[in-house]
Amino acid sequence: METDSEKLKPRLLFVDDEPRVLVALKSIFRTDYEVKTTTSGAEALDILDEWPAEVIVSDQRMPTMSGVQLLKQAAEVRPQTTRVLLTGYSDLDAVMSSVNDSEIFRFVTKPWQRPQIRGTIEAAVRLAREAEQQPRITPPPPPPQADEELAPALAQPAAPVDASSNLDQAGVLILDPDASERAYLLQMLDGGRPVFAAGTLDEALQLLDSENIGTVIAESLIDGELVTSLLNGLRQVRHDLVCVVLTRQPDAQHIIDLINYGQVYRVLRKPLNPGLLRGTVNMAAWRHDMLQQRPDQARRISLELPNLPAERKNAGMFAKIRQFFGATS
Amino acid sequence: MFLRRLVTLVAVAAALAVFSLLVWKSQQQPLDAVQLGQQLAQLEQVKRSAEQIEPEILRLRIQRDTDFQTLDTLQAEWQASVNQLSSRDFSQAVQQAGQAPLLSAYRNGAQNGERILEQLRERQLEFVASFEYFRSHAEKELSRLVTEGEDEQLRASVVALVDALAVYSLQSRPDNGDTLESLLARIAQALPQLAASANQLKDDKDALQQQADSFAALPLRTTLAQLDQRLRAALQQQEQASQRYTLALAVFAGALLLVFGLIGLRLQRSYGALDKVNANLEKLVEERTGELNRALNELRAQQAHLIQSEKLASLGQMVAGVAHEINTPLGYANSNVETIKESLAIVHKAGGLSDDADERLVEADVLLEDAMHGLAQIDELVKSLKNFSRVDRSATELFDLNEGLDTALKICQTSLKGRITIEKDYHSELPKVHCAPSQINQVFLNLINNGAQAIEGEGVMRLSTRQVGDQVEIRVADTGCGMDADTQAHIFEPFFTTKPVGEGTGLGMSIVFRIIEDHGGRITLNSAPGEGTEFVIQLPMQAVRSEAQTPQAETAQAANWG
Repeated sequence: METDSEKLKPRLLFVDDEPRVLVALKSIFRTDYEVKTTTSGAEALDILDEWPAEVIVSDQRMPTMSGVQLLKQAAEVRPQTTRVLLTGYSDLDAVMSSVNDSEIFRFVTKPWQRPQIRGTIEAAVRLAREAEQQPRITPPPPPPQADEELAPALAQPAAPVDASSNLDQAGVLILDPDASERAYLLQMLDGGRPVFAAGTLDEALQLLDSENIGTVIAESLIDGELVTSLLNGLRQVRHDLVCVVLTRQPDAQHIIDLINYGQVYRVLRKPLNPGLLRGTVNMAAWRHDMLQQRPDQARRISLELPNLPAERKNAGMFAKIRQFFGATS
Repeated sequence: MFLRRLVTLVAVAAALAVFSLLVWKSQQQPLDAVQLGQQLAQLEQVKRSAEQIEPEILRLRIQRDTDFQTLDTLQAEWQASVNQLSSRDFSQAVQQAGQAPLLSAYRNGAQNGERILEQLRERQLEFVASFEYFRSHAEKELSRLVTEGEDEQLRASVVALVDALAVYSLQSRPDNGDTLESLLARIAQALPQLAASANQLKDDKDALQQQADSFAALPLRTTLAQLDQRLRAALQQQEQASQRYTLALAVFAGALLLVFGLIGLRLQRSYGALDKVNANLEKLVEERTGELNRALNELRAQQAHLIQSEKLASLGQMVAGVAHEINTPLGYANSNVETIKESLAIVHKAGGLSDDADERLVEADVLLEDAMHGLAQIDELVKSLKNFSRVDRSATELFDLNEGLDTALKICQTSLKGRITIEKDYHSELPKVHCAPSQINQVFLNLINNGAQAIEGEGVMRLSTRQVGDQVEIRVADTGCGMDADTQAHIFEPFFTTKPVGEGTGLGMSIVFRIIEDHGGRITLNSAPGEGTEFVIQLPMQAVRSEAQTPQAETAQAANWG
């Protein structure tokens, strides 16, 4: 028999192949949360099916099913459940996959610090509760996967989204300092929604201010600086903005930061596959529309973003964003 | 090749054959010129001897001499010289000249001559006898006629007859035959006996003259002259032929000499060309050897670097794996300690414990604090290892060099701790450098390790960073043993090591040099034996270009440095 107070307690599901980790985590959260733990991914999915957990936290390295795989399936079983990946090792492929396939909320690195993991779980619960209240929107079909990149036949045209029929179609902003890359992106996205291109941060901010832009596609390095700061700053002022980051040299730590501090939507590896890019842009547009329809949820996501630690913060870029939007809007 | 050799061989053989033939021909003299000369002199002798005989015959007749001594001598001389012609040498020479018939003809002639001379002697005696008889007869008749005083006319006829007969006897070809006949006819009736003796004399003279004529008619002289002429002609012909062969020999020798000269010239040229080619070849071989040596050295260095990088890459993978394995237990250990600490605080707060228990609680709190400290240190070390190996990090990025130095220091801690004091003089606002952090970390690690190894016992290592214009300068100084000039000159070369064999790879500093060079930087050192060493690195802030990096270059870098 569940009591009322227990019913109000948020539900957490921890998955790790090391039982001692589960014991430790349970000891932290059991007083304030209803906690279930398992060492098996399959079992975790069964639990989730019957037991609507607000948050699922999974270890990445597990023998039968990896954390990324589990969280991806969990998103299909219960999209409202917030997904957190617990990892002791920044495996690049896993990190990329966790962003692009599992749409995780945060990375938590081992060894975790109690205050941090508590904050992350609290934010995750708030986001899940917000999502519970929203009607479900079916996402468009996902773009071709990385391993299908060699089949350009799968390339989908950038078709307009249904939901945008009565809305002003939100545009796409390309931010890449390399002119030839910019031209290539413009050419690939031509024919769909409005596309704008910027080579510098100032140009990008100008366009963001003057145009209706829903998606930002940004190169990971702008003027030799990582875009983490930019994303972090932009999300503070534009809650419904969806960010896709392009990179030639994927770096696990940077991607972790992009998720944890910028809530990046997708990270794509250069050179780009046109089909994958168009599909991603479609998905991003859908995401933008969804966030626009749910301003509370969008705000919530943005508000839950932690501030960048000082050493990772690009003070100049951040200040520029603040100043720009503070002065114009 | 074989055909060419065969042709050459045949040509040389032919040349030699022609040469020897010409030599033989020019040296061949069937008639010895000297011998022939002697023989010709002999012929002359024969000729002279023969020629002397005829006047002697004439003299004998004119002088009515019966003394044949001179004729005998002359005949003997002639015969002797003729006999000499029969000698083997001479007959051989004549035979070779093809004149044997002439010689035998002459010999036959000479034999006939001898017979004629024998008869001539008899006729001479007869003639002289007839002449004496006629003279005495005529003198008697004349004196009788004078005394008798008979016919004056008859006496005149006798005198005329005597004169005519004398003339007839004296002259070889008397033209008074008719006069003599008429005189004879005139006295025949008167003096028949005298006429008979006169006729006898006339007949004897004719017989003698006939013999002399037959001797003179012998073709001795012409035969001899012919023989002489023929022999001379043969000699001349032979000499001419010999001269022709000599000339041909000279021409041939000249031609051969020319050919040899040409061959020699060609050979010399060939040798010259060969020498040149040889010299070039030697130079080329030397160059190639040098190139090969350089390539080999380069290859060895690259191989060594590759092995070193592979080692580092696998070490990085291992470190990353170990870090993960450590992080999981570290995670729950740390978490549990914190949880316990929290729980203990709650228990402590709740109170109601004995003093002893409370004291133990406080002590446990301190111990847990220490445990947390230890765990934090482990965490830091693992993070440093991960940072250092940079597995799954981008190859190039903006990098805080101060952080890099600290990471390297943490990794080296075992060789530094308690022995070496670290002095840091970091520029607090050092600009980040766009570089390959894993490589720069490697540089710092190698320099710090090197410095630590240079210090025996206790010492100080000083790390400093500062900004110089658009460059960043890093100094790593130790108070170790220092280096002499020779070591300083070779310190950055691959495989150079001052450590005992087997201890150092001799690659650490060469890797440092290469990495700094790849980053467009510079590394120098200040050192003296016994006074420590200071390495100075200058790096441009944009040590690598970010966007221009090709995927291949990244792959290569990833393969090199993990």
